[in-house]
This record gives sequence, structure tokens and C-alpha cells, in this order.
Amino acid sequence: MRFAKLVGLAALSAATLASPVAAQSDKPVLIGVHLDRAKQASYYSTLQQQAMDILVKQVNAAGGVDGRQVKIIYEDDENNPVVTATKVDKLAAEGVSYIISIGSSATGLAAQARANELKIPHGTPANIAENLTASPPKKYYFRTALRDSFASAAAAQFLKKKYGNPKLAFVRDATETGLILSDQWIKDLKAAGFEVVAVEQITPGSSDVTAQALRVRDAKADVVIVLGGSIPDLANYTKMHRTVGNKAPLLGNYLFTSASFIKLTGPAASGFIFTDAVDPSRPEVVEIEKQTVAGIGEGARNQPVMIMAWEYLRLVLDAIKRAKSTDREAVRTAMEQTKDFPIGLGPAGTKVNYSESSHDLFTGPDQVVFREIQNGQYGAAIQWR
Amino acid sequence: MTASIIQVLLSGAQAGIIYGLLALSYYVILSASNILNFAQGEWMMIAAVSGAVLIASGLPYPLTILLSVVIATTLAVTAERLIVRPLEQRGASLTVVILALFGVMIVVRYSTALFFGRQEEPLEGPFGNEVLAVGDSIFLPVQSLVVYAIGAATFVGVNLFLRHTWLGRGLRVAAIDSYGAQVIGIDLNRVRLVAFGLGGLISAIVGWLYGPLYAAGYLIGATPGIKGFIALFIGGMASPWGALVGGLFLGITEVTASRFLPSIYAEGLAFFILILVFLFRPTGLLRRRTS
Repeated sequence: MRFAKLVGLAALSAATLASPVAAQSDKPVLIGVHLDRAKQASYYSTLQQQAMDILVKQVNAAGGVDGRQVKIIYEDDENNPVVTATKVDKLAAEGVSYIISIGSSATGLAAQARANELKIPHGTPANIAENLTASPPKKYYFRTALRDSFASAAAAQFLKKKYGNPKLAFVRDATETGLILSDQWIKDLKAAGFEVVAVEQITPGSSDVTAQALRVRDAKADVVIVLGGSIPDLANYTKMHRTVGNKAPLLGNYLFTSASFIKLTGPAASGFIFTDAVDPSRPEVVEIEKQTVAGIGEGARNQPVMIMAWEYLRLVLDAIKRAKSTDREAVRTAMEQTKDFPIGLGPAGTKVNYSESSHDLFTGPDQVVFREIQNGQYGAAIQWR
Repeated sequence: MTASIIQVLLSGAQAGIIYGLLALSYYVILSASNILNFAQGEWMMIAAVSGAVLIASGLPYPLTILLSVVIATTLAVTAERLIVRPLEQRGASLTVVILALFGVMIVVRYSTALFFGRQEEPLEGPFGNEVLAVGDSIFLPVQSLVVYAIGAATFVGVNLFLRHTWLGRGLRVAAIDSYGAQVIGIDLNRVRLVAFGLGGLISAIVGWLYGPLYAAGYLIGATPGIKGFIALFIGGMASPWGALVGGLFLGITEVTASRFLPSIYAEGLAFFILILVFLFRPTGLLRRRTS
């Protein structure tokens, strides 16, 4: 029965947002989105864009939000924080009611600063940088992405439960993502009492990572944590890790759910465990994925960022419906008053509960999902707690 | 320790030959025309990416390699014809030409993202992607052997071309004295076209050496392109062999630093050593012979 209730959740997203009440206005509901169209963050930016476009099409086909069609205005932030701020200005001038950040965390931070100044409600489904969240929270900012400190805290719990007190080695690429993430994880895991026996770094574009793999093997770590944003480099490391005979298990974060990681790594990816915000076995997620695959083809399969973007937009449109208005302050208030909103992120039963003191979906490491790559496929959530 | 040194030399030589070949591609064009072509890394990328696309389409492997090299080289020559030559004919300064080629680099790179997609694909090497192991401390990808062999053949081939063919001698004469070359009847436009074509061909070959070791994707030309540029100036412009010397020096320095120091310091140390080289040998490691 519960399944039956849940299974239609994504497919009925459009219908629940429509209303038989006459349209309040002929003007569309305007949502602004800044994304990286062509640079380093573009591969996950465009996936999120595609997911949102499919949802908007469904919502509009079902009558829109309170009879008003939804229109997304996209601006290319060029993966540049300075450009991002000007694009936020541009979206503000267009009269958007909400701005969504689907580029990198660096541009997300720039958008946050500017949108807060302009008093426009905004947020992100996928930026994980810790410093996007403040306490008390930024008044106009709402996030459903998994904060990276929760991922590292969950990793600490997982490592203790599964391996006792393992010695850790870190391997990262020298991208901004790799350096920021790994610094956070190293700090958090050391604070949790783990010994870090090696930290190795790969320059993006390196054709050979044997030196790093041998150094990690010689350090005799019990578990190796791999973090970064450059998938080919980390895929190369994963392959060489196995080739040099290192049996230490590998753990990473959700960035490894890029489809090209398995293609590039091949059989060496088997057993790779990573943290994630999405449990693909949840019926809601299965349903959303059906829609995205129907929309753009097999390239939508195993793309958690699409699920994240879909659910975030659904949340925003629901807030606009509850606000009965596209006025920015009204939408902001409605977002902050979101209570028990079921969402297809995190483990089963996760709901959005924002408040004046919390604008994050994820409130602790217990909500982090762990998944494992097996037989060339991204597996469902591992039950380990 | 011996095994570590051998591994460093093997890995460093593999990386170094790739950098050296890209440096050679820059050298051929720069010496013949004074033009620094920032798009060289993109021809390498185009060869790898078009190779991945052609393999996926089911074309026989040898034909895939040939076609993708032809595609990349043709693009290189097209850039000379459509961008460089018209600018030169209009009296544009060298700076403008170089900036235009920088623009070509950007356009090629992001157009590839648009048509090929933004995610990298694997590229199968001609002899597979296996790794040979000697004991538990020496690991040699089969593709590295391909790099050594094709790299050596390319350097020897280019040198023979420059020394023993009419076209090659034309490139060398234009490099020494472009005015004198015109006086003796050498067509500088043709020389430049040949230089761009040869540079594109070398880069395309690198695409098939590097792609199987890394991946095929729209961004893969960026880092090796820069490293090739640096290798060119480490080795110096005295001869094409300077490109190989510079590449090997850079590759082996990087890998040595990564093997014997925590690799978080390796990149910084490698560039520190480069600064020392430039301070003490500003014209490069290989000196030009004086008569």
C-alpha cells in the first residue's frame, strides 16, 4: 500500500502542482537557473538542466502551477564566479521568483552572495561545499544537496563499523573540487581519530599514476579514500591501485557516479564504495529515472544529479503553489515553512523540513546513503548501520 | 631502490615522449613561421575523440586510426588556410595571429564538447590496455611500449624529413632566414602550410599515444598542450632533438618527484626545477651550434 502511494509520486508531480482554480495571471512562473554550459562543471550542469526541462514539460502539460505555465530562464555562468554574479543580476532583472544553482560550488557561492543581497530566494540541489551553509542559515538560501561534512562524518561511522580503526590513505586530484573535498575529509577523519598514513595527489591530465599507486601501497593503508573532480585521473588511479596489488578497499564520494567512471575503470571498479544522496532502489527514484530515460535516453540512467535537480525543482514549484504567489518574499517564506515534504533523496522516508534555523534537507550523517559498484553497475544502497 | 629508479625512468620516459612530441609539433611551426600555435593540444584531442567515435561506429581499427589522424591533420591545415594566411595577407601582426589561434583552440575544444558530449570515453590502444609486471615494483603498460616505439620513429622521421627532403630543407631555411628563403625562391606560404600540416600530424599521432593511457574527451588537450609548450622551451630551439630532451627532462622530473616525495609537492618541485633551468640555461638545455 505504501509502495502504491509512493510509486506515483514522481509521475504525479505535474498533476499535484496543477490546480482547477482559475489562473491568477497569464504571466508564466519564472525560475532562473545559472549553469556551466561548456566548461569543467558542464557535464553535471547539463544533466540537471535536462531533468528540470523534462519536469517542466510535464508540469506545463498538466496545467502549470495554479494555471500558470512554468518557464526556466537559463544563464551560462561559464564556471566563473565573477560572471555568475552578473548572471544573477540579469535573472533578477528578468523578474524570476527563484534562482537555482546547478553549476559548481564556486559559482554557487557567488550566486548565494549576490542573490542574498538582492533578496531573491535561491538554492541548490547539488552543491556540497560546506561553506554554503551557515548558522543561522542565509535567509534566502535553501539546499537539498548533501553537505560534505555529513558525507565525511558518515564515512567515519562506516569505516569504524566495517573496518574497526583502519589506517587511511587519501588520493586526490589537483582540481579545486579534489582539494576542497579532501581537505575537509582529512580534517574530519583525523578529528574522528583515524590515522592518515599517506596523502597523494594527481595532476589532472597525468598519463601515468604508478608513482602515486606505489607510494600508497608502500604506506600500507587499510582503506584508501579517493576524492576529486577529474574522473579520468581517478579512474586511472583505481586501475593502477589494483594493478600494483594493493588490496586495500577504495572509498569515494558521490562524484564517482559519473557514468564514465565505470567505462574508464572497467573491472577494477568492482568493490568501489561511495557516499551518495540518492538510493536508486527507492520507488520514487525508479519512477523519476523512467521519466528522464524516456526524455533523453539511456544517458539518463544512473545519474543521481538528475534525480537531485528534479526533486529540488519540484520542491520549489510546490513552495510557489503554497505561497499562492510568485512574490519573492512570499516564496521564500513558503520554502522556509516547508514541512514533511516527501522527497526522493536520502534513505526511504526522508522529508524536507525547513525552519528558521535550518535550510538544509540533510541534517546529519545518518541520512547519507552508501553504494557499491559491482559487476560494472552502480548498486543500490548498502545496509550497514 | 633499483626497481624504483627503473620505474621512474620507464614512467618518466613515457610521459616525457608525449610532452616531447607535442613540443616537436610546436617547434616545427614556430621555427618555420615564428607562430606559436596554441591549438596543437586540440589536434591531439580531435584525433583521440574522433577515434573513439569511429571505433564506436564499428569501423575496423586500423582504418579508425588512419581516418582520425587524417581528420586532425586536415583541421590543422584548414586553420592555416582559413585563419593564418588571410591574417598574414592583411598585414596582421604576429600577436594577432597567435591570439587568433588561441581562439581556434577555444572554439575547437568547446565545439567538441557540444558534438561529442562532455563525458570522457575510453580509447583502446592498438595492442590493448594491459600492464606488464616485473616483480612487484615495476609496472609497464603495453601502451608505453607503443609510446617509446612510435615516439622514437616520429622523432627520427621528422629529422630525416627536415634534413633530406626538399620541403624539409625549405622549412629549415625559412627558420634561419625567411627573407633569404624568399630570395632563393622558397614559397613561404607553402612552407607555413607544410609546417602546420606536419605539426598537426605529429599532434594527431600523440592523440593515439596519450588517449589509450588517459581517455578521449574534449578537455584532454589542455594539460599535455601546456606541458609540450614548456618542454619546448626547456629543450631549446636549437634543433628538433631539443623537444625530446625537454620532454624527457620534464617527464622524468615530474615522476621522480612523485615517486620519492609525497606527490602533493611533486608539481611544485618540478616547476621549481624548471625555473632553475631557465635561470641558468635561458635558451634551453641544448645549445645552438656556432660555426
